[in-house]
Amino acid sequence: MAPKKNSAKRPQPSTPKPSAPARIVKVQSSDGHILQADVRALLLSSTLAATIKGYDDENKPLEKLEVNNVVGFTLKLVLEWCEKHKEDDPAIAQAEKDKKNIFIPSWDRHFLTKLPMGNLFDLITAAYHLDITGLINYGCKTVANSAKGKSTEEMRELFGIPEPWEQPSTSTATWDD
Amino acid sequence: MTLLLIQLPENVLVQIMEELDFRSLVSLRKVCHDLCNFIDDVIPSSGISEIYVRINTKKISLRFMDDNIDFLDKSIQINYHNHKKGCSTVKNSSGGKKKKRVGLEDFVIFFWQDLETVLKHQKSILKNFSLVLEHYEEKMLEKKDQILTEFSKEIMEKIKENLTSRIVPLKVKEIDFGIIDQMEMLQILPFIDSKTVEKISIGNSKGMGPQNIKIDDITKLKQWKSASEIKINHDFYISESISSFAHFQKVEIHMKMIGSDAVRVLRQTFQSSPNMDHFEIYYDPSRERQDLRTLFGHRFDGSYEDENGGARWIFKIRGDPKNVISIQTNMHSWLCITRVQLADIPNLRLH
Repeated sequence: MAPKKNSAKRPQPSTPKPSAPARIVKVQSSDGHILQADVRALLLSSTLAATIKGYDDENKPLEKLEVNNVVGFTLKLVLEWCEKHKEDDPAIAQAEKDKKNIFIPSWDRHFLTKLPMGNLFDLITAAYHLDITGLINYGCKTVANSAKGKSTEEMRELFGIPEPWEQPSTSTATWDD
Repeated sequence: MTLLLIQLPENVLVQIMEELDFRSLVSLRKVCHDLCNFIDDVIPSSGISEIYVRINTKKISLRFMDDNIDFLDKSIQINYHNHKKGCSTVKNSSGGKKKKRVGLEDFVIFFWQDLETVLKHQKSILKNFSLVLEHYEEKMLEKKDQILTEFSKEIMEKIKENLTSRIVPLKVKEIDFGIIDQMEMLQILPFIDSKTVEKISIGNSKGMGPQNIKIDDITKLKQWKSASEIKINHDFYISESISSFAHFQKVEIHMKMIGSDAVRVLRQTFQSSPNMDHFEIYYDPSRERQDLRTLFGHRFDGSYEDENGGARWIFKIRGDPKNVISIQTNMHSWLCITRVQLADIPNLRLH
């Protein structure tokens, strides 16, 4: 018989805490789209977390958050990412960034790599304005990964830069493939 | 309307660039004027963690480890060859081996441009920085040393100038030199951040058997004083006194002879320097007048690992009841003194 452990008494880690029902608020994009989100997901954004805390501190009812610098299409992606990660501790993302030890989970890899480069840039920029460290980390790493190992010409194509450009004569040719 | 790469917020763009391996960053710099300017202004930190340079008159090799390379083999080596008409390079990396002619200028120029670029983006602490002046390559020529010394002078000057003009000094944990004279090290070591240096290794790059080396000027450096580990390889004889090494935690050196006085000083060093853990000396058996084993009295008669290495003696340390000094020596060419936890030696009877 296995040694007696008290682990059976502990709640299973996957069981959600018996908490109050999800608190849903409306979020409005810069172009007037109104979306809905769980407050726990929005707390991943330091900017929105501060706004929400402001309402709560003053006991004001929070009906709608306005996000003035993100368009609806991008905001929907941001909220989808936050919903997926609402259980994450933002401190972990910060630690990953500081240690330069970012590992992209498979859901995120799939979510981010399917986006065209321009949409990915918009998403990262929105994450930056909303201060969502985890999404910035995964987004930046995804962009870097797609550029790694490519030649200058291939990068121009990847990033949609048409301009053929004469390199300054100081750059050496050693690195070119 | 979606954004272009260059329109991303500055912090984001830097974060992306700092995820890139060095070669990709160099490629990205050539994509367009704006990116080139951005990279030159911001100078993103590279993922390079180790740099190795080897210099002889016909070939210079630059090898580095780039932690941002996603393959198991994170090293890139570029050999710059002196070509009849300018310079040719051979690049070795996880992507394979590539040879090319890069231009008409001297191979030193190409090497230097690349090292300069690497050093510019080196903002993190290097685990290892190694510079070997391959004096042995010139063995067959007369005046061999002068030739490489003369040849490398310009490069050493450039490295020195680069290191001294940095706003933040280059940070290195382990620094490793292959030289024949301390002057060669003095071009570089004084300009490395003394706060990060942990280990200094000095090897003889002449390859003609053991020779004397003077290190008196090196021992005066801040970098020497703040390092915790020193290793000077077997082909150099040190004549420096034991006290110059007293602040280290780990020492490995080669001396022509040790002598009973030095052994006494060594034992005192373990009493007086709480940092000293390991002092290993190789010596020349033909010169040692006395069998060092006669200095230590009763041998330790318990069993221990590495009994083949030589007989062992154990001594108490005054004021340190938890540790003892262990002395181990073979018959004639190796002496190793270590600080050992008392608890690690069973059945010990101290004399």
